[in-house]
Amino acid sequence: MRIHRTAAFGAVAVTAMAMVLSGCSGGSSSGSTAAADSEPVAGGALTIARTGQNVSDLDPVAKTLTSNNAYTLDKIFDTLTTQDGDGALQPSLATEWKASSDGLTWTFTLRSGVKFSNGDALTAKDVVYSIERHLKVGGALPLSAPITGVKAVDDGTVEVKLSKAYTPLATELATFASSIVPDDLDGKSEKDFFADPVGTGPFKVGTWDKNSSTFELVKNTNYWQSGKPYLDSVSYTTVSDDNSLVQQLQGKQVDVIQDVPMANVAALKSNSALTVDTVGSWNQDQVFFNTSDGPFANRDLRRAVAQAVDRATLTQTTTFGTGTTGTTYIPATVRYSDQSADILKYDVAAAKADLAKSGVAAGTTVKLLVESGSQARGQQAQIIQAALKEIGLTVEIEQKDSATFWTTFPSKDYEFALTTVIADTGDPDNVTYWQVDSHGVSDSFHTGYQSDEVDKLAAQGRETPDGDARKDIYAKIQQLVAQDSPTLSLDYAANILSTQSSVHGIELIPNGTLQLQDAWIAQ
Amino acid sequence: MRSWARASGRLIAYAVAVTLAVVVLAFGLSRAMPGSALSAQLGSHATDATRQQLAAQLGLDRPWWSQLGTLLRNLITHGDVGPSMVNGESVRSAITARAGATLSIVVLAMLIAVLLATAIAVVSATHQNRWPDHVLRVVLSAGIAVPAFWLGLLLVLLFSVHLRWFPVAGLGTGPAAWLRSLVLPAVTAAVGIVPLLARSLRAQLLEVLHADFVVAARATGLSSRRILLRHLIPNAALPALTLVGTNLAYLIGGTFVVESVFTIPGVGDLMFRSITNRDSTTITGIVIYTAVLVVVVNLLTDLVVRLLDPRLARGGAAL
Repeated sequence: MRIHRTAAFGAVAVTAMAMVLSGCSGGSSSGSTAAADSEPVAGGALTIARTGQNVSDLDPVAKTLTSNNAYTLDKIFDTLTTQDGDGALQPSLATEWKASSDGLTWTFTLRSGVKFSNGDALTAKDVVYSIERHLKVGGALPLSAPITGVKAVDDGTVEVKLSKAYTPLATELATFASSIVPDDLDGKSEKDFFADPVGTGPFKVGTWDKNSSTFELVKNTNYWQSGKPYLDSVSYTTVSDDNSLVQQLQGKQVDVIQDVPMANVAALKSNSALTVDTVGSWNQDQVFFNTSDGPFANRDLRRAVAQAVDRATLTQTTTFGTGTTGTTYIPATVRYSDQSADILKYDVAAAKADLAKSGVAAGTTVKLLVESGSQARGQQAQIIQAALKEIGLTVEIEQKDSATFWTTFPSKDYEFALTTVIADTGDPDNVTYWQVDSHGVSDSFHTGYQSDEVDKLAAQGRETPDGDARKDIYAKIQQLVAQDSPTLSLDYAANILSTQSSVHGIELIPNGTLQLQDAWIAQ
Repeated sequence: MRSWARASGRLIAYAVAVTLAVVVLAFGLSRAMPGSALSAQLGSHATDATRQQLAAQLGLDRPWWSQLGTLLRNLITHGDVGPSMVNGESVRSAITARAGATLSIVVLAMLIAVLLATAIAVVSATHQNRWPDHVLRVVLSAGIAVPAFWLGLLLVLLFSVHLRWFPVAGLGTGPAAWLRSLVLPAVTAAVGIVPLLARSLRAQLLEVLHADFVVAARATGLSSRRILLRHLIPNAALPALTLVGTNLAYLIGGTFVVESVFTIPGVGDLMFRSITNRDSTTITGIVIYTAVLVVVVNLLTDLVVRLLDPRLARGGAAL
């Protein structure tokens, strides 16, 4: 899934000046917000500033799912399963789940004693309704699982029938779009229900004016984790410029900021009144080649580009040391990511050899389409330009803002493109299905990549239960994809969170959301 | 007075024509932008069916003339351009909800700019071609050259992050906090137009300074201070008033940028978000309402100047 972030207007000069003025010296690192040894204190209002759009819709299966809508949904609703800070699957509304030996019937045991924020008890009916609604509506993040039926066995058990074995089911049901809503939306219309939704999550909507850049959540007193959440309320502000995020935190106007500009991390770490938390994410800055048309339909040319770019240096420079070097299309934080699949290593001589083999003349111009709005991506494009000049290719960089990029890129009106993408889950099938499986919804993420062998293995990977056999399948896929090089993972970015040091217990999930049920503010 | 009415009628007809042209232009330009509300909002997993559903829901599947027709009908019957493409709320109410913040900055910035420009112009004109004049000229050039977002960030770092005199961003609640949160944005916006105002006012003052009646006044032995207050400023003020009117558009544009730096939830902030989302309905709405505001203020300025200036009241050419 692509998560939308508003373009930052900050320029290099401004950031540099800001760092000079704020007395940036780099230096000491501070601990994680989760590492608090004292007892949590109940009460208080937490303020969070973030970039992006105002919350516009709280329907989990809405046609548009912006990052801020998604990151609000999981405070109000729960899912059957959930993913923790390491991306591992954990129980949530379901305490247990089990697939039959043929993999066609899944049984979910629901947690007992869970209530919605209006006091009604959660039953299997609510879960059946929610999954059926997701199947019927589809929305921005439709279910890929081949579900043929969902039924309530009893009040506390739900059975899901599949037409084919599908290992990622439990992970897929942990995504935002699989939020559990009350049966028949409590008899209300969609419009009325989602204006003030009822869920089982730690918070419920406090004040929400679509025309205001602030959004407030208040404590759900019926929350199933007793004594939680500690906070009385959480107030979000959306800003359109990430320089303002840092300033608001330094000026003590907010407690927490998300989407910290990477250039500012060192300065924030050197400030003892603040805490900086950096966690591996499912994000990656990635180059996609148009393999169906134009110069990069030539496999040798793609391989030449892959070997010409020094990804380690690129990562270090453009993420200011916060990211990890890209190796394979499955981010390092996702299960079965195979580092040995990094076959086309940085090697200028090999790149030149592959260029010669491709038959593309030296001095040929290739066009790199770049989604603007991130300082790092702009620099990465320039590094690629310089690297390809080394082997004799001229790169013309075309920077387009998000709305334009996402019109041009999906219509395949590009040669090669650079953007940031994020996996929806920690299961390797997710990113495999939409990036390299030609049966996925987006034609191998608009690259047009098609390999019968990869398609076959991807189908097997979906059906094989977790374990060594499944791990081998994804290792093979990653090797094959690396050889064909339809994409090039430059770096795996980190999620960066910075807070006042009085804030504790926030957990940052690799998909970018913050878990707040354990968060508290020291007096 | 009849000729004043005739001239005014001409001005009003002109204002209506400009407004109509703006409506068509705003609609055309917001549609001509590359990218669409669909690509800005749909995730990469969206199927073609979802894309078509959203297009139909937003009216983007209809031909342009049909969309323009809906816009004109909405404008005439409701004074609205329709629902936002992002959240489905009325664009008019979105703009009116945010107009207070923007207009406050504009008015405050205009006050600051007029006071500052008058002070600078008086000092410059009375010290023509001597060092205070030279220094101020350099300062004014710098004022034009400094981009508003850069100046805004620097002011925030100094006065908000370090000195903590003003909030870093956002609008304060309660009258005092509210005014305090508008000071830095207003100063930033004002800096953009002070040079223009000060330069023209200086030129006007110099012209009046050498006029016969000033020489006569000086000959009668009036003090310089009295000449300045009673003769110079009132005579230079009329052209300056026109200038304030024409600079309003520039100031509103500047305020839009300033709002995004200070995270003021005003119309400018909405404009930036709408452009990012290709919410062409909201963009069109903001352009139309802003243009109408500018046209009306310019019209009023013209009418007032014509009333105050006896030469123009007799039907002379506009300034």
